[in-house]
Amino acid sequence: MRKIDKSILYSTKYKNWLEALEKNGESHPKYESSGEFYVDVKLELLRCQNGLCAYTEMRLCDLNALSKDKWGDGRYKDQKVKTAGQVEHFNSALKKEKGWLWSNFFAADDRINMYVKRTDKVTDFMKPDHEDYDPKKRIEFDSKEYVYRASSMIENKNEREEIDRMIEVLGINYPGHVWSRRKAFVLKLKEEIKRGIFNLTDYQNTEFPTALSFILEETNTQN
Amino acid sequence: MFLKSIHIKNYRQFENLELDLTHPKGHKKEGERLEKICIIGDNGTGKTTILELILDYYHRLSNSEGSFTENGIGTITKEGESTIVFKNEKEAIVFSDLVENRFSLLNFPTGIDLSKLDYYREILAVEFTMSKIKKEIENETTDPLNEYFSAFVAWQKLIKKIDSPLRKKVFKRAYCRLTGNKVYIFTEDEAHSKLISSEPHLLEHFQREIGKQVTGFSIEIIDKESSKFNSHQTIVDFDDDDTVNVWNFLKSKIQKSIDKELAYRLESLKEMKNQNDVNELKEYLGKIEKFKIKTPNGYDQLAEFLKPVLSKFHLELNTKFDLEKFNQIKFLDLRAKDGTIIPIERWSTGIKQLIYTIFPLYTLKPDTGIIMIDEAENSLYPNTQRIIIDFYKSICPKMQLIIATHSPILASSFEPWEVIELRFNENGKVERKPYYKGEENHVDNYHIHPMYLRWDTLFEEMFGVEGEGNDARTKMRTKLSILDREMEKANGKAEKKKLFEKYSKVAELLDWKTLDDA
Repeated sequence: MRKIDKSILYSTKYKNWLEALEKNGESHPKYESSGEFYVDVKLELLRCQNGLCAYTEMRLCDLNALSKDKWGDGRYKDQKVKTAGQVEHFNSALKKEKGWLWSNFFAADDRINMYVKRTDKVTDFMKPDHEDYDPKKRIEFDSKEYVYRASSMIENKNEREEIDRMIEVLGINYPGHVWSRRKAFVLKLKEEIKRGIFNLTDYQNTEFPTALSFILEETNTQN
Repeated sequence: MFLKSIHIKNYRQFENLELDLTHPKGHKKEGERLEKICIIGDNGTGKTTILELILDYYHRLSNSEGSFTENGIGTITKEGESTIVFKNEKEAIVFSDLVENRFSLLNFPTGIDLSKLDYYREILAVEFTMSKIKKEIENETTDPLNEYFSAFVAWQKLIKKIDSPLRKKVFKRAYCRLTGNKVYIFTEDEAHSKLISSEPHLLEHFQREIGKQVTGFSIEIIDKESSKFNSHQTIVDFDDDDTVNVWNFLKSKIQKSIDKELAYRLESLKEMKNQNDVNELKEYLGKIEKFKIKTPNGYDQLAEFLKPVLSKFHLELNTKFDLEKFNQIKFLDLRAKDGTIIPIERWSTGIKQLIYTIFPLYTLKPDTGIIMIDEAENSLYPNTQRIIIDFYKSICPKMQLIIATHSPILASSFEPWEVIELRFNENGKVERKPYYKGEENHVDNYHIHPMYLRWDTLFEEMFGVEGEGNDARTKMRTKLSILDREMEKANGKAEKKKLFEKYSKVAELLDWKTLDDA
């Protein structure tokens, strides 16, 4: 789960609308997928996340749908666009009062949002856009079991356990499609490295960039 | 009759489904029809619908509601504008439809290969036996088999009597069948029909020969170019009762062999001077043994044939019975390892499933046509599923086998181009998932191969079941990873050892040997 930068928004109409709400201390309208800015929010998140799920890093939409020219007049042009994934509230406790809060949003894999994450308590330092979040400091990738776990560099056992819990809450090691696909990705990657045919340019905009980064570090691959 | 392609347009969940049922490019049988086909897909994707459409298509053909074009294309129209186009190779066809627990046999005189006359004779004999046995039950008439053979034998006798080589050739190339109170004589073409019709004295002779046993029937001569010929097709359905009827057909053949054996035994006994003499008795037994090898009665052969499948159920066909009481056997008797006889009432559903499909096929030995089985894995244990496709193919190697299944084990018996995986597209319509990459259907472009996948990846790649196993397994692997990390962080050997005990227990539950693929 890499760090995500959500500071730039092309959907300025949504941004202005949200800022006006905040400025005037007005409560947010009920959050619904039929809401006026739902598509703008979702595509904006996908753009910030390079088309990947914020937690599992599985691909949710093609990069072609995320180029700057797809926005115009402060909105995403094609309001009928279809992509995988759902808009997810990182802290579910904020959903009722601040349902349209940009900082609480991430785009996530459908199944993670529906079946895994739900209303479990979250820890801010594991929020992908949090200023203190740094994957290399918080987590490590076990390339034998193909799973993430808290970094063994962390000396505090309680902290390790909390990170392990958050990894589960965010569905980062979600069984089935996430784990399986990532395992296949890692096996192929390691095989390429082993045979000396790995080429980083083949992995531009790939799924599982964090796993890629850990594996490259583990194998000291220079390219 | 074999299928080479099916095109279903605007019918139920199918918008425009094109199924190429031939070998792909680059294959040594490129363009030839597939010998076996496996249809898989989620519930509601239409696996059974496709089998039913094929069945319906042939029912319509048999009822003269459909036809072939010259290049073997047949079409049916259903539910308004829906059109289903089938491309065929003309032959005969056999169906097994277990959804309705029926086995159907359909014979097509159209395109009949006269060199396979023996085969058709067999089929027709069974076909005729079936209908006659039904009548026998209803009307208490007798011995239908003799009636059929009387027509066949009479025709063969007639051919022997013909002096003219030309006429002999024409009569030889025709074949006859007796159905109800009518004898049909099928000829090569109109000229042959005319020539046969112009020989009333021969036909009268033929009629007299049959008339020795059957009376009150008429003769009709049909050439294969006439529409009447095309429309004259018969369907026989096999259900529980009809499987027993197939048994009766086989039984009558076996009975003849047994009668011969009994006669030989009697004759050999008579030749003995002293039946109490040990040497003479040995000689007698040797002769009987030789006779049995030379003229097998069919029952032992059936027992041998069924052995590999029945052994999976710890059963075998009971071959230890009194020859003189063979005709009292109602149906195949199975015997458990301890010698207990298992009558049909006590058969498991798996055994019934197998015997009801294998036994008629073994008995009829059709060498051309289609076998269709829906949910072919029904009631079969995985180890039996592993062999069943090969077993079906071994009975009828030239038949086109089409199955629908939810079993990855059955699917693993097929080449990738033989698998039709149906799936819903974004519009809720059903399409075929391609197993090859790129535009060209070429053997080299296939990236999924059912025969090469592990059981768990078969589930994943072809049946959409993701993961190595239950979701709990991945969670357990995460636990293993965390224990691994904690061992690294452990202070001292004692703590590490304690953690390793936990690690070992988890690894054992996950199965150590599956954890070494990293």
